[in-house]
Amino acid sequence: MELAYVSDFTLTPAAALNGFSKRFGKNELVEQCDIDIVSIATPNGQHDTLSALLKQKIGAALPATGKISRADDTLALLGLQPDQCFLVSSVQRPDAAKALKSLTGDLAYLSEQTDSWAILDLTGPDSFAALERICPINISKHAFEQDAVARTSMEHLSVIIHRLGDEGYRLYSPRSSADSFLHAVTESLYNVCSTTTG
Amino acid sequence: MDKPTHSAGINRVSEGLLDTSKPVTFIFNDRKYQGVQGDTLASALLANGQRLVGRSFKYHRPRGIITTGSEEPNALVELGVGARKEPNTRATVIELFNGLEAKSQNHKGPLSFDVMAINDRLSAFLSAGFYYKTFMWPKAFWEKLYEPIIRAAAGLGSLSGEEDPDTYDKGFLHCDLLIIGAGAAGLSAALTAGRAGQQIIIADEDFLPGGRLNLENDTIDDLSSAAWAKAAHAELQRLPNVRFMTRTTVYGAYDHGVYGAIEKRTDHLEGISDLPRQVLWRIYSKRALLAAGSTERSIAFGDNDRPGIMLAGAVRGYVNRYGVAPGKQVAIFTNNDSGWRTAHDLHQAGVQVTAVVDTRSTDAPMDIPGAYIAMDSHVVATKGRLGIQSITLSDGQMIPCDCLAVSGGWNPNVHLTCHQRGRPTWQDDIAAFVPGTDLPVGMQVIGSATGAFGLAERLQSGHAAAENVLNDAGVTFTANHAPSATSTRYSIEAFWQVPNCTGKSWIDLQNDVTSKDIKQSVQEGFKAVEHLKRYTTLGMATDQGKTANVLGLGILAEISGQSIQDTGTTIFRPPYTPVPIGAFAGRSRGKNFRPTRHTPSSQWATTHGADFVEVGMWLRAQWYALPGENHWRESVDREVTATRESVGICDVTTLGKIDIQGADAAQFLDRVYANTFSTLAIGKVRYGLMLREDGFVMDDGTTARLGDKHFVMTTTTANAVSVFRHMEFCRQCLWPDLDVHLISATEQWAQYAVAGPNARKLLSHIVDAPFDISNEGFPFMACAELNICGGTPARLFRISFSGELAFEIAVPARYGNSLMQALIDAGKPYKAVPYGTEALGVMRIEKGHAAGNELNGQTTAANLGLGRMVSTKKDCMGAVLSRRPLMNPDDPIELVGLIPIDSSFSLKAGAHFLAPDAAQILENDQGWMTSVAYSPSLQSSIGLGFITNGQQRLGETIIAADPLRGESIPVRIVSPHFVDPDGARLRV
Amino acid sequence: MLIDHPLLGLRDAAEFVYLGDASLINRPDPESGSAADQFYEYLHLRSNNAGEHRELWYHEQGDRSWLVVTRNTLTHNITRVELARDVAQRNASGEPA
Repeated sequence: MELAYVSDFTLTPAAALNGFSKRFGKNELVEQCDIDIVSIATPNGQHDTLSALLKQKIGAALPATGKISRADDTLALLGLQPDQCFLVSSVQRPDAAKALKSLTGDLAYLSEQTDSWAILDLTGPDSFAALERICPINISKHAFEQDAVARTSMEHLSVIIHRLGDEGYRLYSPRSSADSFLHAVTESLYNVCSTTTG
Repeated sequence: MDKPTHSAGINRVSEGLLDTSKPVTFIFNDRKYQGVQGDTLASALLANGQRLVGRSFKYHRPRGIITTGSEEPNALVELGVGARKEPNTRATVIELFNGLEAKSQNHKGPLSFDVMAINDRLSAFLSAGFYYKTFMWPKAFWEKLYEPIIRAAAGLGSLSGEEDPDTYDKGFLHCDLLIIGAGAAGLSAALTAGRAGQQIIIADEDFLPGGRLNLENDTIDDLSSAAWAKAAHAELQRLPNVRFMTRTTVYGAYDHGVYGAIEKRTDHLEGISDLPRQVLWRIYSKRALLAAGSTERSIAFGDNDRPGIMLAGAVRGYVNRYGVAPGKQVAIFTNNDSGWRTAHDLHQAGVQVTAVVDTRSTDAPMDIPGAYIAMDSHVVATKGRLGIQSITLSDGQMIPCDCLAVSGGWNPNVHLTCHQRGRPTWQDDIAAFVPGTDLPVGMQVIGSATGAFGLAERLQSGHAAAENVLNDAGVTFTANHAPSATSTRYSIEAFWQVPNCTGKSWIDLQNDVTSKDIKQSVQEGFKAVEHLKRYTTLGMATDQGKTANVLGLGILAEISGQSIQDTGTTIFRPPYTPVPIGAFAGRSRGKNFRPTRHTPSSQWATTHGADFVEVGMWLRAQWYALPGENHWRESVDREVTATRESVGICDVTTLGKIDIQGADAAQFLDRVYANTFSTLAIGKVRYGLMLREDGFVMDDGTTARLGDKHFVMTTTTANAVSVFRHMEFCRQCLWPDLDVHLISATEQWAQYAVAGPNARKLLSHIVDAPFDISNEGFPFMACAELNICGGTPARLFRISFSGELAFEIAVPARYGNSLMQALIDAGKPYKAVPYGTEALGVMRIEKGHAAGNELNGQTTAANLGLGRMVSTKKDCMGAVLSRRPLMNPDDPIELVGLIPIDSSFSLKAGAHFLAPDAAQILENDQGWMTSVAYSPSLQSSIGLGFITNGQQRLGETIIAADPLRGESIPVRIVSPHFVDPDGARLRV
Repeated sequence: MLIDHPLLGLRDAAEFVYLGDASLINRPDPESGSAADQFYEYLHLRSNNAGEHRELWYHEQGDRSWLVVTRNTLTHNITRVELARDVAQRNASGEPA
């Protein structure tokens, strides 16, 4: 049988939350759809070599667990596990893991994670008060610094959180449960913003 | 002194701390009343002369308000109407607002004439243990007759029976220092630590901070104590490092400095709010200061429960804070100086004090003009059916009064010090329990909760404790001194009950426990304090005996002739005051009970007739009904038939996917899987069987090798999380030297099974050239990374769960919805159908593939017919214990197929197998049916099951007995591979 | 309950999953002649201490580390928290725990 091997179709990407964006009083909650995520696992015993290589190639060394190592405004490494970090980049690459692979070769184990997460930026004066309703860890400015990152659980969902300046947070939650997570955050915003505005 | 006139209520003698310019209208028992802003329901009722506010729990005795606070045992009302009705709410803590509606509880007919008050006349029969003894037989009568009657007669308030329409929220707070209570000690501590910049939370249950400072007529730093509290509150609110939480009760002390608190947010507001009514906080504190204050207790004497008989501290509290005189002629009965203080404050406020009766044989501490002073004397009886009218003293003197203020002493509020099994210590000089030494980690007690009742001492202890906290934290601060005050004298001689009273002497007003009940309990052998509690129900009501327990213990000690320290207390448990169940549930109600997981193409499925089923948190399409299909079987049979005849598409995204990389990844897989993976070629997939260390089957799935050091494992949907956890355990705890790294890829990929004889034809429209998906180019169990649909990266696996020629194709999740549409469109020429989990299940049963019903944690590889997969050449998780003799018997249960002899019967999972004519008893049990389905291919119900020696019994007829549903069906044992047993269709 | 994670500091126990006795790290030698007995004991026999207990906790809602937590079962007092990987490597190299 003769098979054609020519695709008649093209695929359209869909954002996890359809590009959600909404104001709540003086606050904003916006889905980030243009951020690539690649997990980088460090081969046993190769931490220093890989760290130096990454510093040289992308401008950021391997972060400690719970810390962020930033190259510039567009690229950072989030230290999530003792031997694993996430590269997050706002410079769009169609296949981020493959692009990074060309830089690291066999020195790192890479896995594409871009589609695994729904990302929400919460900014504004009530962002802390809103997250207080769902976030068990201390994310006040005294305890949670600009270079801190944490993975924790909010409303039974896994969430990665770090700061965005003084009055904002970036939240990464699994894509499949993004609707539930969005509900958790908007409910919190509603509860605290409506209270403060009377 | 001339009595000033105030609009809101006949008993209002001054403005107190209220804003009398703001009148508030409320409804009690369908009658309109007026109070003012700052009133509680209790103070407003007293201001309106309403002494009778409820009936008691058991005997339906008329009862009034006893206290000013959360310890109130008596004044319980049903607050609100309709679905918002909340029973057993303490009038003393209900903040008055316009339109508040409340009703008294526990009476049939009007409050002043309760027909159930007959119980009071029968009380001789209703004493401790009465129910236990009387309603023992006949046994069947208990549930049907006695219990409903007793419950109807002896309940507290009634529930609305409707769903709670209010919302609740939760939250998490962190602080260096948590201060529990904003009275003298708490405020003093907060000022010291707050000014030094510590992150502080100070919480108080009241809406007006200050605690007793608002109820007393004291002076601090030349201000009235209430004005000082107001100023301290204002200063603390201005400090950015201090979170001042009013209307917030810290109700429990948990491990490692964690506290539970409930904050009332909208209860005090007029109208209905859609914001959370209350917020349940979990507070993480490095240190905590317990400034919970103290609670007054009563004295037991005859008929000491009449409306108008109140605690002495509350009587002066109503005068000082609310400007309300609870009576026009007030008598006082005390064993300590606190009673005299009430006499003093009342006299100052122009309220007539008719008598001060003191049990002590000392000189009167002060002169109260116009009052009959009786030292070394007792109140032996009271009169007044619906409210006290007079008291009778031990010298026979009868004194008129419409309010009797009683003080039996003050109990430090030790509750939170005991939430981790700490035991309080008895202190003789104040005749009260004080906190013991084994406090929760990080907690220190300050103020009158320590038993130091003098105002100067309370202020100083808060200040000093805060300085300690600062020093321990290494904070530099400017040393200062505590706010200054003079301490009033407090002395007490323990006195529990007036002997030989004719009327009943009440101890626990909420549960109607009398001193006679305690005596009887001891006589019947229930002497231990925990037994006494359960036999008499002392302290078991919603107030947890805050005003009653120590009085009860004092009497128990007196009767049993042992010290109070040796008598001990019952265990204190959270919550300190009642917390609505709704607050514990928070937002987790209805569809928000737990998160929902959707696959990337759930939108497509929704618009194409999918009926969803919950699988863990996932929603999966179980079938896609077409217009005109009225029964799920119609849809499922059609989906199976179309797939087997042409091609079907199934969303299999929910299967767990684990990305495994590392130099030792292959070796790692050899150890976690029973079969071997190091021999798997790159570009190939293999079925893998995972055992637990005890040798039983844990999970199964396929694992693909994408590179020398790179594998992708699939797990069952149900076990995705637990398998990942297990593999991290293996990696970190068992074989830490292996270079292997895991990350979940479940969320990353949308994955679809394309199954059926036309699967390849369909995919030929999808994959990009020059990828070769011919049988030769991409044979059974091949896998590849490729591009599809003009450049979208994808993964393709030639695996089959259905038994047909099949592929699974995966794309990054963002393309999932679009790919589903593309597959359906590409399949149009072949009449491709989407199929759901039901059709998937039918086809896997037709193929004899094990799934969750078979992998139930009690089956071995051998049971599943996969015994040979457990490699004997290598060690793996579960290998050693899978070789245990009892797991390898001569007559093992084995997986077989079952088909009814008469195809009109439908099989039932859970049926047990018996030999024909064997009795339906356990001894004859040979196995059980695990999975059943209707097979459109065989046009018969079919099943899978485990049966002894199954593989040797193919063709045999047995009985599938289902006694629960009354069925006994003859079935034939067959191969579990009902369709294409040789697997020829897979390999074309 | 709070667990003082060696890398992350205090985290609520709700972020963790409990497994059990830390002796599960010491998987017996499958090649040993008495492997069956050793595995049986390893898997099924536990001391049930009233007092100090070393146990395995997994930081599932966190950094995915397995931890060995030394906890007093009577007071919940936690005196030591280590990465299980470190403990396992130390055990393997024959150093005392």
